[in-house]
Amino acid sequence: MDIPLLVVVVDLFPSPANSVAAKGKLDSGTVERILNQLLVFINAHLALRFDGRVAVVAAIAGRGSHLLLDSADLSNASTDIKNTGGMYKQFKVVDDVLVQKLQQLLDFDRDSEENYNKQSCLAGALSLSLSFINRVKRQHTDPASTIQARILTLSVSPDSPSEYIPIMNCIFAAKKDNVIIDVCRLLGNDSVFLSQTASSTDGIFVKVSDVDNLITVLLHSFLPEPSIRKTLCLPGGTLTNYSASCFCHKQPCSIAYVCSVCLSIFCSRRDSCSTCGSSLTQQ
Amino acid sequence: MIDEDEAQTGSNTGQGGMYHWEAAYQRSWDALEEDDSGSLAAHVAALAREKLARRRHVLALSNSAVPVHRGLIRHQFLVLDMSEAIASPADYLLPTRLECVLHNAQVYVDHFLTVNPLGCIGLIATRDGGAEKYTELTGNTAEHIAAIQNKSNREPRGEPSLQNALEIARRSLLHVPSHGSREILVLYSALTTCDPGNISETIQSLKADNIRVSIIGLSAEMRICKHICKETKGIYNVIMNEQHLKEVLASHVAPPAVESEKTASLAMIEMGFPSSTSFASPTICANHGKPTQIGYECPRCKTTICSLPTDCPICSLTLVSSVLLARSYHHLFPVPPFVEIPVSHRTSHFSLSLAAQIQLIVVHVKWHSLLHQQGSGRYQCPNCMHLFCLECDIYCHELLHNCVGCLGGSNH
Repeated sequence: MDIPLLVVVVDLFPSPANSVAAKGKLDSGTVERILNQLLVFINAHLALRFDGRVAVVAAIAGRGSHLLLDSADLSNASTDIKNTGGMYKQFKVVDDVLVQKLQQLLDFDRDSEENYNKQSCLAGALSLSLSFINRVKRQHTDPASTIQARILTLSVSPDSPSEYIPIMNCIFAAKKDNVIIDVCRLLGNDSVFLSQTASSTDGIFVKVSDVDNLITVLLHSFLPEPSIRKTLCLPGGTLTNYSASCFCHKQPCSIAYVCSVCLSIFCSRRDSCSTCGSSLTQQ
Repeated sequence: MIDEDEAQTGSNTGQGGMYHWEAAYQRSWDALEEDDSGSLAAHVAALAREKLARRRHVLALSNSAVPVHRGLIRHQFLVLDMSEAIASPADYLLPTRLECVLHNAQVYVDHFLTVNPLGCIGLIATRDGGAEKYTELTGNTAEHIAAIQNKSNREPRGEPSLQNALEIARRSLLHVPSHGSREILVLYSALTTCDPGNISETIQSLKADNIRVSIIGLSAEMRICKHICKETKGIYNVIMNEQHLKEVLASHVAPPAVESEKTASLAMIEMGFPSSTSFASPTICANHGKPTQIGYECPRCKTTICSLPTDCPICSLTLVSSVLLARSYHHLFPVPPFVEIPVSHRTSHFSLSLAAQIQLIVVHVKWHSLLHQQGSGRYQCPNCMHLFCLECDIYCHELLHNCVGCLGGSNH
């Protein structure tokens, strides 16, 4: 019997409070709407199976990635358990912990402007999730069941070229561990890296342009476990852009020159490789 | 798991100044200890942890923080000794020498082609005083594994011939482009070789053609093998047991460092990274002549191709997926080895709260029942000062190749 472990990576790019939301950034109202729908989704996952497990990793641009919640380790949750208001206890605890932790994270030096101009830390969050999954698998000693882990990335921030190699490393580690990485792109903007991530790990890549429709997509496309997915007709294009980004200008390119020593990619011919320092002859 | 542990205990004895055959017979079951409830779980867990710590040690030795030049486009012939010597009994290679060697060769081929996505490997076997080529140089894992599993290829016969095998490999390697490396790896069981001519001439021509020969001896050391490896700048190893064989093979998987004198033959290769496209009506694939609706388009001449990696049949541009290329980037930007923090070192300057630190220590005391024997179980990245446990340390270096802390992660 497989124990489903779902790691949700919430990649948010909040804009400063009381300012107009810039392109690709979220105002606090949108964050709240996303969070509400995410909580419903997490509760739905927990409701499917009594032994289902959820963890949430937040990747907030400029503030690093943090493990916010692990549904198997809620011992130090400071929730008023008696006053659940008719809600199922486990849902209540999970919701409260998540909201509380995320609130702390978002409120943390909300006023300092420079934090908002930093790049996303999605690669760090994916690495953290994979290390977490690895640890859960190692600690799982019951031979009768195995952990079936997958990652769902709710992503907003644009690709940052410096993350190309770390994200690729995550893809190979995920493939080796049989971890599926699903990607749900909010606000409908494209991401070359994440579409490659999803297609290479057998996950699905869905763009959601209207935030209010998020819950529909989450429940219909991302809730089914990988074993059931074969029988479903899920969205997600088969088209993936496999273009690489060159090391010199970080620009995507479809024809490039590759150093034969280290396989660094350059968009134009050059005499020496800037990564490994070898002097190269023209072929 | 118990078997592997036994093998490892064996290797310890071998390294500890005493030869494998001089050691007393080991009763590995005596080492097992039951806990109060009669369960072996605690002891098995401790053994597993010890194994992890040893793996970390090996990793730390092989990983260096400084990236070196490595030739990532590799062409290698794997020579298998299929003479009668491989059928001879060996108590250090189980179940039989033949099974053990062929199984490990299979694992090696798979591992090699995963780590070197643009590399090619070919198989040559030597038996009956000659040598035959099982597979040509190719990057297709399935082809090699099929050849190894083919029954007629698994039958040991006659004498081995080192010279014949090296000559066949040399002649095949002459055609590979100069920007790729030329290597031969020999798994040699016999203590003899049956050569038609003077092997010194072969060594000279191997040297002249810039071919690196490494040999893994599966029985005792041979002078001629050592001489060949020394002359061609290869590595000669003689294995002690299966675990050692695995370690030695694994050390051949990572691309070798490039010597500076060789840099003259390096080149910049033009490559295309096609995007997948879907066609409204089925289009003929230029490689196989089959109709396809989803395919790739050569970015230079717009030819339709059905699979990657390949060379464009029209304009001969090398077409690869960038994902494939990225598989070897961790060699360029390795994670620095983490530093072990001693148990006594409790005051710290990194960004952990005291409560979190105490929690961390308590957790590790719980996990590492043999804490004082095996180190503290706390490891620190020298760049970002984040702390890691043993599991995560090994995972970061062996599989993930990312440091969670350096990428802006928090402690967990």
